[in-house]
Amino acid sequence: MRIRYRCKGFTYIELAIAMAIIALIVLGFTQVFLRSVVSVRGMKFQSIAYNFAASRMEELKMTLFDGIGNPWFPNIWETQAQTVSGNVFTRNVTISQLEASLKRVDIEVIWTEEGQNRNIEISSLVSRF
Amino acid sequence: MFNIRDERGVALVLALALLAVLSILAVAMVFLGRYETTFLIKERLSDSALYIADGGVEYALNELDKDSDYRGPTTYGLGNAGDFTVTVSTDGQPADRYQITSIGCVPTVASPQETRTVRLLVDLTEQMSPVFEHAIASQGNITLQGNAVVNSDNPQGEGDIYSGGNILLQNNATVNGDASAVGTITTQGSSTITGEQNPGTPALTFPEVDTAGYITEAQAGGTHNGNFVVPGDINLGPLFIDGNLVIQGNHQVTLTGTVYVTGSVTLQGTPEAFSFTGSETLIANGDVTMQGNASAGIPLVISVHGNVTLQGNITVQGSVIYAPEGNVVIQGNPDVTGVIVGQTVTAQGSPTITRQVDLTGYPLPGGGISTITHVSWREL
Repeated sequence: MRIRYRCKGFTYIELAIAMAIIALIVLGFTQVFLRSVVSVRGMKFQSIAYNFAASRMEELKMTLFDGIGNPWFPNIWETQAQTVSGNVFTRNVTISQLEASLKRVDIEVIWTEEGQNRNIEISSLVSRF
Repeated sequence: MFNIRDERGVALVLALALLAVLSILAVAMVFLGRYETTFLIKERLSDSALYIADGGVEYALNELDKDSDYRGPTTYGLGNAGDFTVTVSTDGQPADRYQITSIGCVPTVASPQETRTVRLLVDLTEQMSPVFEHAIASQGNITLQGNAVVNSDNPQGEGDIYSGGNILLQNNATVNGDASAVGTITTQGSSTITGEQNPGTPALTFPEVDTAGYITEAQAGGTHNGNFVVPGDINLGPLFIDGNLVIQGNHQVTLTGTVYVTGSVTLQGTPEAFSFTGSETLIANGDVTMQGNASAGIPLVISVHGNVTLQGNITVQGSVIYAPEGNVVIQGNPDVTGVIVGQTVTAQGSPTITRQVDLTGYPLPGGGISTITHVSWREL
């Protein structure tokens, strides 16, 4: 016995609507993914910058008080750069002598991301004691 | 028999199910990414707050060096980086142990996003310039005449004297302690030195007077232009007097803050008696004169450029008298308990000078933290 089927299939309009809906969904997800990727990469750079700053801060806290900075003149004491993942991170250390036995340490790290300048800064005090 | 009609629409169901699963996975990944980002931001701010808090500990150590009575709380801003609030406590701690607690806040103490708290226990030992470890010390000569007696309070027999020049004892002058001089030591008549005599001893450095610090402390209470004559019983200080300070008659004056006098200080009690007490510092650019039947008990009396004269029957209790550029002259029958340090020191008549051995807490020039031992550091 031969059975006949109705093989009508999708119309072009149905296909077009389906593809449009799928395209909208994919586009939405793509946007979110791209934003997420940019955000994660930005945080990666921030982490690199922060570690670059923190490592110097730890070194300075272990340094003899008189060996830190130029007395009484608040200015950039030292500048250093390092390249990580093709990005250049520049670290500026500023020392301000607040009192005879108290100095302020500001460490700023600057880098460029998506064509824009970014920076992070950490600060602390160090005493002679 | 296999009937294919039963499978109609299965593809749509499978496709929708797959799409749902993929959507859930995608949303989960997006949220995970956002969570990681938020976590990293918080972690970075938190680490910044830790450095801010650590800065607060350093701030407190510096303040304790200037004044061991410092307790805070102090809130201090480090620009855009953050603020810290630091306090110091000795409650429940052994002697000389200080507990420093510092809270670091980012970005501000008023509206913190992240806070870290650290606590440091330290043992601080205060140092004292060795010139104050004598009953009498001078950069130049020391001359003791008549029936002058030098001793110490507790224990007795440690009324040591030091001279950056020569020491001369005449008549019945007595030193119950050691005598040390860069130059010579001479005893004439019935004068006596009960302890060691150390001529040719190494010179000591006399500490400078931080006049700017005292002026700032005094000016915090205001400025009086012209001579200040004490009108009666009074609580005095902090006060900056651009002139002379005069106390005459039977008045009770209590120093309640640093008093800085640009001119001279004269305390005259004859024939009445004045009483001059307090726990603060009296400092004058010019001469300081105390005379009459009176008593004075001020921890630190400084004449920056002038002379100090003690006359009559005046009683001085627990005072360090410091005249690094002037002569200290003691005449008559003064009874002095404390320490006398001057460019030169001369005692005549029958004065009694008793060295106060324990000067703990005295705000002496050249003092500060000598040793610091970190006992423990922990984060709360």
